[in-house]
Amino acid sequence: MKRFILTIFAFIMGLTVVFAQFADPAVTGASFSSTQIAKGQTALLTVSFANTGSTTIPINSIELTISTAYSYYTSNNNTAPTGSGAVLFNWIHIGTIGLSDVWRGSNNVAIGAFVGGDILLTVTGNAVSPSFETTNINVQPVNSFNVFFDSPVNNNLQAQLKINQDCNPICVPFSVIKLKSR
Amino acid sequence: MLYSQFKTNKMKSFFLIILALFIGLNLASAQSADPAVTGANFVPNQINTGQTSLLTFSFANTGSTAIPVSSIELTISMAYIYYTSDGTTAPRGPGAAFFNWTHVGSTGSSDIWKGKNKMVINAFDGGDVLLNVTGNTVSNGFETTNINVQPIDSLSKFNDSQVNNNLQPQLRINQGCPLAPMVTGNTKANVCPATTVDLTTLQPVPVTGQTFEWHTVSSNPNDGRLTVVGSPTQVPPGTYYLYARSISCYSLASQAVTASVSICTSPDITISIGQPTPLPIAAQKSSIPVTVTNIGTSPTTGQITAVINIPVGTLFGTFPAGNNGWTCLTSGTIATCTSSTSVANGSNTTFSVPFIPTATQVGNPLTIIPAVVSGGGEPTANTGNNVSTSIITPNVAGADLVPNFTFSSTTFVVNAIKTVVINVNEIGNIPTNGTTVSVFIPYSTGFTYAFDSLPTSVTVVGTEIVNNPDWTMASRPAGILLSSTIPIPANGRSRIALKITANTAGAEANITANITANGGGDTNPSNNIISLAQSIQK
Repeated sequence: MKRFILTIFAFIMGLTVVFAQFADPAVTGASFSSTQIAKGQTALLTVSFANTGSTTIPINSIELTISTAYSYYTSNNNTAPTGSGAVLFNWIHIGTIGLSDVWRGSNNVAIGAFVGGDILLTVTGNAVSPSFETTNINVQPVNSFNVFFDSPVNNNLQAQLKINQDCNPICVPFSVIKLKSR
Repeated sequence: MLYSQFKTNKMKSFFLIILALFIGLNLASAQSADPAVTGANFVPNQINTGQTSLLTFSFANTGSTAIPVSSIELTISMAYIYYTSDGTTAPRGPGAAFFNWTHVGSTGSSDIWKGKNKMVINAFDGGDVLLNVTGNTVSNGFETTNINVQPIDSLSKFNDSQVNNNLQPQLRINQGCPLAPMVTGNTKANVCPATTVDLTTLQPVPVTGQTFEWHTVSSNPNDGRLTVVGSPTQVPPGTYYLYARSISCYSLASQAVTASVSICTSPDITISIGQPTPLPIAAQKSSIPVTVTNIGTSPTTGQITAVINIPVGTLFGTFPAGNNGWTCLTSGTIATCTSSTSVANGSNTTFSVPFIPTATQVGNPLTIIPAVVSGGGEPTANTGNNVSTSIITPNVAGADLVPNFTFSSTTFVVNAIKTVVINVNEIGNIPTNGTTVSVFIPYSTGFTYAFDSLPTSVTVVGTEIVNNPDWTMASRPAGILLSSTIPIPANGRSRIALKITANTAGAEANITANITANGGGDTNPSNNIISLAQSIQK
């Protein structure tokens, strides 16, 4: 009987070791293709997403949210984020045009250790901004919490974009201006 | 007329005198002697063939005058077919002493003792007459001995009553023992730790149908069996007699068995194990302290064997030299340790069994299952306490790796290249165990990371010594994985220089380093991630 109990105990301890979980979803980079665009122009937001942990993120256990500064620039509300990181998620658009512009993705596959990729989203300048306006990017576990060893310090990034006066009648991309200035 | 009257009176007086004389003579010579036998029995009243019984009866002169010498005869006539006296030993006792005895009859034909009183037996005098008889033949029932007394002379002296002249005691002869059981020894002592004696080991092999009893007395066990021993395998000190009831055979009186009980002393060994010293650390030797204690009443004798199991999954370490006289052989996770050094009662002996936890056991407790001790001359009865309790150790300790960065600033200008050092610090005061330590650095859009395995020093602000040659890089879908098996010393660190190029203006990054859990025996995965916020000027 004693040996039996010890065996069960050892087995449980073994399971504990085997199933120790260290998944860590992270957003590790974010940038707009241009830091400034004119009203009516578009910029491409790129977000680096990764599971930095050594165990898998289970399906439907994390949510990645991209919340643009909707007063000044928005996505087109229809075209979901793209890219090798974006395909790991099912995306839905939340909010009403003119009031918010939020894309929320729930992972539709298990995400293995050290797996991830870029998430791309095109935004269009809608209104001139007084300064650089922030897009919040956040990732967090929403389910299966016991599988994570989530570090909150890499769960959030804030990319910025400034919308300038439109360039009617002729618009010159900001990057071209910079190039010419050299 | 006067003459006539005188003559008549004279005659009358004469007759009266004659009558008075006659009466006086008659009164002076009245005799009332009465010989009698007044009680008779055999004790016992049943005997086996070959056994003896004692006939006792009372003889008395119940009369108030003496019985003249040689005037009565007392006859004892046995049922000679079944039992007889020995024919030579005359009846004895105070009653028998009044008589001269002669034995009448020949062996096998009769057995009669006849006594003639050899002295005057005064009024109310008498006494018991005793005679031993021996059973010769099994009788069908109780067989009678006739006892008779009667006057044979001086008959005038007697006023003999016939009703007390005769008695007929009876004796039954049963089958005697064909073969008295012979015990195989006359003394028997307890065998420690037993405090009683087993008599049955002294019984002979029974013949068919024979069953044995043991009794506390050698007398007749038929008497209610009050003396029978209830548990002959566990008797207290005393004297005991074997009896074969089925054939009515006693053991001989000389076959008494004396049971003796001596105070028992014996070793009684126990074993205990303690928490290993030091407490388990991955890849380091811990030792299980083992204590064997003699709580008995005498020193151990011969070899003591202790079996100790080290935790499953651990390896044996090097046993200490000497080990206090204990020698251990190992097989799998079992150590069989022996010592022939005697342990005094009330003392103990200690030794240790070393083991080494593996990296995969870090963060988990270990179970040391109960140890078992045996030998040392310990009697079986004392072996109920020969197993220790089990031990569950604290979690196996290991290194604790924590990353941080050495960097110059958190902002870049586009196209700038900076060197950032990722420090893999050991803060648990335990070195890594040589298993692979891996650090994952996920890519960040807008930045490029580059690892060079050659440099041993880089410039961040000042010169920094780094360990890049200890690390190898592998690409992963979302970043780079740097790995090393070079142990990181306790409270030391291994440093990885990484070149970061700023590519995209306005890019924001969480430069992250995640040390893979359990790598190098890391016990604390909660502090394995570090992120450094970096940005590129817009």
